[in-house]
Amino acid sequence: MIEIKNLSKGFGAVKAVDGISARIEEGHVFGLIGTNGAGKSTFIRMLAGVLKPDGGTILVDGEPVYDNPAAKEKVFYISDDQYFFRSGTPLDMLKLYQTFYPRFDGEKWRALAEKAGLETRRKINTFSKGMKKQLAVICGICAGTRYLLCDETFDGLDPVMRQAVKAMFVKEMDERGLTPVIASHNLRELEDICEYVGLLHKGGILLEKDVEGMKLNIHKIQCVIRSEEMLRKIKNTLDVVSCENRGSLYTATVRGSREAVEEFMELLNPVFYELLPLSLEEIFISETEARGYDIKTLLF
Amino acid sequence: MTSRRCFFRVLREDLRHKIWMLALSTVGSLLALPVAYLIYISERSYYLTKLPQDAALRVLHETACRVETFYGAAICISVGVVAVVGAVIVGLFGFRHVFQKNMTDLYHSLPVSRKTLFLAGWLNGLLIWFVPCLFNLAVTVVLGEYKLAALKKQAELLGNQSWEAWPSGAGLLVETLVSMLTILAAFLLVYHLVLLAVMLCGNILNTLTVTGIIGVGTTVAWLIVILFMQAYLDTYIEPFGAEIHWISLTSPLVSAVFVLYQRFQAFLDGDYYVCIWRVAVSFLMAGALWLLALAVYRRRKSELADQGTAGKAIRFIMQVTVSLAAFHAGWLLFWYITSYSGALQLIWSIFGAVLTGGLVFGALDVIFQMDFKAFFSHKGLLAGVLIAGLLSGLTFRFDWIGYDGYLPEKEEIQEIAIYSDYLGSRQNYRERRMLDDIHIRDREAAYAFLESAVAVRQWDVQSELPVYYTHIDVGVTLKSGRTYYRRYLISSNDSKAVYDLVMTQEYLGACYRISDVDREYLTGISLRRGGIAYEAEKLTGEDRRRIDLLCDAYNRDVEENPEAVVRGEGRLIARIYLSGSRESFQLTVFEGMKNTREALRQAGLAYYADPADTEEVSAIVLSSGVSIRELAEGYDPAGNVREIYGLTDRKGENSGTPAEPGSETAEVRESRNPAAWSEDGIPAAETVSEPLMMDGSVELEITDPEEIEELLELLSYGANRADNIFGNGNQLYGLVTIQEKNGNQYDVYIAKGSLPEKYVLKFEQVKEELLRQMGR
Repeated sequence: MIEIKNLSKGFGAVKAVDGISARIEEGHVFGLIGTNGAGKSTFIRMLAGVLKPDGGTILVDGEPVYDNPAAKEKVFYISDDQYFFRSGTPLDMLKLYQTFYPRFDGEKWRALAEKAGLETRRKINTFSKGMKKQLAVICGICAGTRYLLCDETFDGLDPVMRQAVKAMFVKEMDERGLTPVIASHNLRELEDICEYVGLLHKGGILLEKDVEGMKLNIHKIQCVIRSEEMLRKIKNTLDVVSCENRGSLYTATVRGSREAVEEFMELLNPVFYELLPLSLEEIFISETEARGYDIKTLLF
Repeated sequence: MTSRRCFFRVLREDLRHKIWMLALSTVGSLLALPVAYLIYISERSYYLTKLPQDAALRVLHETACRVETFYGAAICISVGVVAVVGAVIVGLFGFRHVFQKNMTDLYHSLPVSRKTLFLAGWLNGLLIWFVPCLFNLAVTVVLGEYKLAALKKQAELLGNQSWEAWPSGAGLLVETLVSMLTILAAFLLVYHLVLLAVMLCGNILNTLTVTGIIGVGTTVAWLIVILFMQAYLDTYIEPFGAEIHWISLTSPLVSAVFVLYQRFQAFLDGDYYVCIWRVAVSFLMAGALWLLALAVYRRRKSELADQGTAGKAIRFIMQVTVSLAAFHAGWLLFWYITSYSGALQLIWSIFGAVLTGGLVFGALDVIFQMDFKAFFSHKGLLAGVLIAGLLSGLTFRFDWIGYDGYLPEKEEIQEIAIYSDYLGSRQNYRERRMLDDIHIRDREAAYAFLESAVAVRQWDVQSELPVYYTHIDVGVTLKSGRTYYRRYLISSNDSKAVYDLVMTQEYLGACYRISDVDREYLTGISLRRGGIAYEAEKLTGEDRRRIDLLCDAYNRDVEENPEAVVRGEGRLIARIYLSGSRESFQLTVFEGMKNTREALRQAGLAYYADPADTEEVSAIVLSSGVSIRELAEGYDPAGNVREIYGLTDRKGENSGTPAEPGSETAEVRESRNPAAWSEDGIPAAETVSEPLMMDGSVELEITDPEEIEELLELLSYGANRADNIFGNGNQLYGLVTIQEKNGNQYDVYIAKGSLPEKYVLKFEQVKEELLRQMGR
């Protein structure tokens, strides 16, 4: 388990991460989503032991990670701009990782590289962006670490490869309890694979929940109301995250159990109402909108 | 993974990415060692068979010494350069991962501690330079030992018996070991300095800047201060000597060069103590830099990659100090290049200072922040630096600290030391070290001297220079224990105050007497009377005996009749030069120095003990300094003669009897230059068989024995020192040529104003005769 307590990090006057606390349980995929500049990469770099936190602690299986080889042996970090040796080949990268990761599985690495169609003796600087990502993921999977930290790793992968990577993750999770931590903007991709998500905004964590639980606890109500009084009751009674209307059709995002919301709407008896599930992206938008990160304020 | 196994795996992996450095290092050391050795030694390929035996043996011995010199001295240059350049390269590129963000992310996310990463990178850097160097050194030593053995064998065949002066094989190894230790110390100094800079910076430009600042900063700042003090403080003494060695210890780059230089010197002069001490200190400095670099790397923030320089405080200190140094350097530069501009010089200096200081300050902001727009990002600080620099510069310019005019209270003075190489037998060129050997505790005399010294300086400022003056270095130790040094300009009017100090036993002992220890280091002797010299560069037993005899006699003169030595009693008749590996001496022999003159006679050097006799001299020639061409153009030589010989009376009423025109004692002298004559187209006089040399000078040749005798009494074989403030006004001399009957010809001096007027008037005859010859 990775345990983060009151983590903070600043770059000069900029506070990139501010008082984040979270727990990343083993054997699950943890998605890290957030607005631009929310501090996802900084957070992940701190988890990888690259950056030293200004405050707070990160414990990987109970050990601090910064400049601690024992803790770092359990973590493999794939950055959004992974470094490969200039004029180096995939085999050079294999040698590097084999040197540092004692449980690195070279055979598996060769098999996966072959399956992905990566030529192991070809110079990496002739690879496409997607091929480099594939190589990085393969290295990460074969490193034999418990935690795999991926920063925007799915960007640049083609749909087939994305599915393949997801399948690899699932297999590794099943076989040896790998815990991928994936930071991404592509929420649709995360929705398929993540069991837990952490939502970051302006350096702070807004929420940290399992995806299913999150979806069960937030809903979109589309309704046609009879009077303004009815709208006021909805806003006063339910935990409304956002609300907008097109004529008499109101769309509100509310928190709470499906049963409780349904019961309230039945009692309210509007002209029409419908309860819809939210996608992860909609949850993200709603939650950040509630914190002022509103698309309307950005555009107009 | 166990830490040791991990370390070696990391070492191997790291080395895999530095193969290019290894290749470069191998080529560098190959060129600097075996190739340089072969080039060095190939100059000595002589055809020994064609040489006589002695010459052949000499050549073989010289070649053997040259082989040893390569390992003892030349190696410090060839391998030293490779070591310094190599240290910069392995330091700069050995930890390249800290300069690139994604590379930093990769390396710092790997399960290895920063300490291990540092140690592996550091050790690889050292091995990359050292292993090829050691291999090539081994090859070169084998070559050298083989060559030495071959030379000895050849010498043996030629009948050489004594091997004492020949370098030995073991000696060669020892010299090589000392040289390599020195070079290793220099390498580590530079390597660790660059590593420290790498750890402080986020890119190569910043690293090089910081390396430069830390590497030479304090020495450059010190030099600027010295130059400033030299430029503006009249009484400042340059402390070049031991101080530069001490100050260089604070600048690793300068120190690396110094340690190589001192090894070089140690081989040449055999003084290994300083060299070994310096090597030991260099290792300590390198160790300190290493620890600092490791500590900084362990604390280094990964986010520094691709950025400028770490730490606001470090940047602030470097920016302010470097900008202030640049400010003063700019001031000095403009001060020197506008020296013609009089009152405007100060304005130009300030302009140069502001320009340089401002530019450097802005440039450092740009470099440290890696942003061109950052040039004026610290305007307030820039203004502060410029104001501080201006105040500092003006403080020097107007001596607001009262440096030149400082006079302690009489009761504060503990002791005084004075030194001038014009007032003594040593030729130290004003080394301040001399002042530390002299301890004059006569407080009254010391204060009187200081009072007059400070007063002279003020007088000088009022542009009323005395006729005779000299610079005297002074060290004053106060009761508080502080010693301050000054160089005062002393006028002959205040010579009494100096004389009282010079005549003390402390001064005479330190500056005039030649001790037994001094004699041990003497390597040569030469004597001069006029232009004739006796020289012995390599002292034989006889020369040693002569030196002892002369030194003892000179010391007796200093003891018995110091006034004759210090003031110069009678005419100056000879100079004795004693050259030494530690110090050189010049013994000026005056007529009044009876012991020394007697010793010269006893040593078989009587020629130098007495002035030339009338019998020895065939002619004395006086020059007018006017060429025949100038004479032909209507220039009067007599006026020039008066000027040369210091005769202000233009008509000669106060001087000797004018010689009759056509007197047999006065002969017209002119040189012959037919080409110059004919080219100018001036017709030759009928009475002259050869054409006159138009560029030759109009001279008067005195051949009459009585006149020669008269003039010999006035002549001195060397001009009294112009700076001798104890002289009575005869310091300025004119040149006269003596022609001896044995064919020797040399220049001597005659005190200005002492030439009888009749000789000046004889130039009128010369003039008439020459004009007649030219048909004018």
